[in-house]
Amino acid sequence: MYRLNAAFSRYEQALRTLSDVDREAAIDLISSLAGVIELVKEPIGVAQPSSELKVIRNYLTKKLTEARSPASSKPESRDLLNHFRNELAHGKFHRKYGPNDTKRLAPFFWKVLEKSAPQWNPHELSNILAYCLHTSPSTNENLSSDQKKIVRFYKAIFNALDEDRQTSAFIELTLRLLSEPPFKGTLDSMVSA
Amino acid sequence: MTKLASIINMKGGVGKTTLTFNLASYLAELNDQRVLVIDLDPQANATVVSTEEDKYKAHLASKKTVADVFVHAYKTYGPVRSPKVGDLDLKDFLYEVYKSKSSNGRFDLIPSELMLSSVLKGMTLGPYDLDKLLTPQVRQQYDYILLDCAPTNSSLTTVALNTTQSVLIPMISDSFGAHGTALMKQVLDEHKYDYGISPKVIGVVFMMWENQENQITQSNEIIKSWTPGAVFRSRISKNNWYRVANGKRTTIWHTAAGREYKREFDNFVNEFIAKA
Repeated sequence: MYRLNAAFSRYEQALRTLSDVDREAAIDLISSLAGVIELVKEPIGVAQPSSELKVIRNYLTKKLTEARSPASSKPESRDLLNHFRNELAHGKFHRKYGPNDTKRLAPFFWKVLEKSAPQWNPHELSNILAYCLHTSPSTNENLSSDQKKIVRFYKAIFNALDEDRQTSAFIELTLRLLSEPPFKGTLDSMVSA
Repeated sequence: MTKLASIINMKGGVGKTTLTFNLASYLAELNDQRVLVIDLDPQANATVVSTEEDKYKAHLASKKTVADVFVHAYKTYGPVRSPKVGDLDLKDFLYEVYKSKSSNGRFDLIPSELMLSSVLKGMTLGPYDLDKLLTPQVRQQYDYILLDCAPTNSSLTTVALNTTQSVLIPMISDSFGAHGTALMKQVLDEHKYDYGISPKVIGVVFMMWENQENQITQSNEIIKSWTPGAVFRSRISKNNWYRVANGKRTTIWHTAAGREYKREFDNFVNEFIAKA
């Protein structure tokens, strides 16, 4: 019991220093652990807790299997993109981000953006993409109201950039668009679908 | 050709004066440019940061401030008897902030004083620009003329917009900043309606920038509403060195601020020169 209290005390100390995103994850984890502790405190012979423990064991086994098997590309890309963005936003990006990361993540990014396109105001979409890519907004009349065409127009500009400029543009794109509800919502729905 | 800009935002405390003073000093000291700053704010913050107390007192005793421009020279419209307008000599107004010994670089100031706010009360009919002072001959003497504006929409705003016909808008990326965007657009639209002049937006500069989620989200709203070319990519980070520099009446590159803060100001000035 002493060790448990000490662990909680350390946890609470750490919680105060965490970012919002990490804090939310930590709260989820500790809530789950508290639930498990409540269950194991009950006599093992009681039917309800033992069946719930069985559910938990099955869940954990399933997650362990998933973790050990090669991950599907969608969740991996989603998680990487989210992780990458959160590290940038919270100033915790330690390793050097490079062109290989862009090559790995950019196709998925553009796929999500194109799918989210109808949810955007075309003018605002064009403005924010042009800003991130250091270019002028398209004056092409045909593009002005078709969000998917707007996305493809800027994707072509992005693909034509050299590696370094592509990398800096991708950092800006990720930071900005993952804060936007249309993009974020589409990203989540593509993974849960 | 002289480039003119009003440094303006309807919200106070966004760093207008800090930006004006550091920009003017940088252009004069490090780029050998001839710069004139006109302090159009009755609070006179640009004057305070640019002047030495004793020299400013001496200036007030023997020379003129921007308030005198409005006392002695104004246009009349309609059935108003035209007063005799004396000639304005720039030399009567100038306070020398910096002068290079080896190049043309210099930074002159037309200071402000609290009396400017009293002058405003009688300015219902005009003047509406500073052309009487900033004659073509005067403009030729400078590469840049910057007007540091008050954070209110008043006759002084009209004077600034008519004189420079271009604006540099420092902005903090928060919910007030997003609201300030709407206000600034309204001021520019009204000015176009009233005077037929649509001031050029040199750009919106994010001040006191922190790479945090809420600032990124709020700055997205600002980027979406302005054209991308009108939002500076260089940003001025939140750091105490500007406060320290202002307290010492000097610029950030004369402090021990980190190289990254000085570099970002370099980037801002380069972008300003390209856009102005």
